[in-house]
Amino acid sequence: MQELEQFVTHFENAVEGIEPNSLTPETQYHKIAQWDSLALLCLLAMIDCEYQVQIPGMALKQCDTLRDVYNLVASRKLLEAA
Amino acid sequence: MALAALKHVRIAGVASAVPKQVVSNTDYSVIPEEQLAKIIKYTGIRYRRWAPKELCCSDLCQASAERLLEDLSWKREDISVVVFVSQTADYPFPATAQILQERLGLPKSCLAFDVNLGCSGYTYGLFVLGSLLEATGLKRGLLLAGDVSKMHGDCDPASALLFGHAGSATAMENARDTKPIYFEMGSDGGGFKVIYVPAGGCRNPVGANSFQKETLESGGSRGATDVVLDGAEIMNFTMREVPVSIKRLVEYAGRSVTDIDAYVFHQANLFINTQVARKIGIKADQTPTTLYDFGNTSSATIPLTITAQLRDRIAANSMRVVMSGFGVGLSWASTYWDTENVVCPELVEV
Repeated sequence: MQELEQFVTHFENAVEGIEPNSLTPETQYHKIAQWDSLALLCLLAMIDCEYQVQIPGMALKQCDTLRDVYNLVASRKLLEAA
Repeated sequence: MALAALKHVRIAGVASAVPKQVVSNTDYSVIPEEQLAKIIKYTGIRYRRWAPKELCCSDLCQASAERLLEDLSWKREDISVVVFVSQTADYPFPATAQILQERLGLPKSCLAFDVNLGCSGYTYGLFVLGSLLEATGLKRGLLLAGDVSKMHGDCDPASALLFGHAGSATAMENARDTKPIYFEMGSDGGGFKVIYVPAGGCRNPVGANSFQKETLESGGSRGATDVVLDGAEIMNFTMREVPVSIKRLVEYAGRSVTDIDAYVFHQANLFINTQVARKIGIKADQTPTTLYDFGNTSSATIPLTITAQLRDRIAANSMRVVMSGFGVGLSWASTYWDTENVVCPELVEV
């Protein structure tokens, strides 16, 4: 749970214009006002920097909430470790 | 990933040329001002040089080569190889290298051919030309690299603000007593649709439908003869391949990443280059950039950055330089180079 909250904080820091502590795991990230193609690059860079994995754009499109994105990242990390 | 070293060739000079006309990204009116400012901040691209209709990449390469040969005082009859690296040849055929052989007054004994590469083209070209010189013992050669690409839709914000025009000339020669030039190269054709132009080749010839514009999620529009750019996958590819390529290269050259005086990256996007630098563990001041003034000039970005940013330092000192080209293909090539007595003329404007 703590890791999921940490992920949300990383997201808030990575994408320009988001107030700290304004999002939750259930936030539909693609519906926030700051979401655009540049925010997507920021998200991918954050995931690469903090979690050392790359998420294909198509896989990300299947994610609705930040919890979904975190779960995707966690499953990628497990795959990489296997 | 392929590692290789050239032990008996040297890079004698680098020159670059751009069109005189400057376009400013702040004049782009397809998207709101606030969004435009954000794109300029992230890409790092404010201005671009733009060629008039009659000016081709070969003209910019020729202007660079004329200036470089003059400054080197090289005799044209000593040049045995011409390699033209571009995705914007003068004609579908013949190769533009032959045309440049004649226009530059080079001997008919020259080998001349084109290489179709973009972002990775300059560093690939150094390897192709250097390998030929080393294998054959031929004395001197010219690498002519650049693009004057207008294959992006003005209506697609993903590509309309990125590309500028430039050409370059690099002189290489056989040399017994010189330091090796090291290379690390690779290809990932599975990602060819990440950066491509769908129509205009044999697979999808241009037809009446090619020019119809499709509306994009971003609000822009694009036709089949316009470039498709998938920013997210370019980012993933770059993060996956480039930092590891550069680390392997530097290790292969017997150096550590902190030994390098300058990392000259392909100039496509400031945000992505900043991430590459972070991942390698180097400081921003080790990575000269020309994105603000020139944008992405394809295979010319690396020589153009050398001309515009490193010229005085290279002329005054020996430097340890890493160059890395990455993108369309998908393809990448990184080069380690100990510079020595390099002739580097000032930027040529045509």
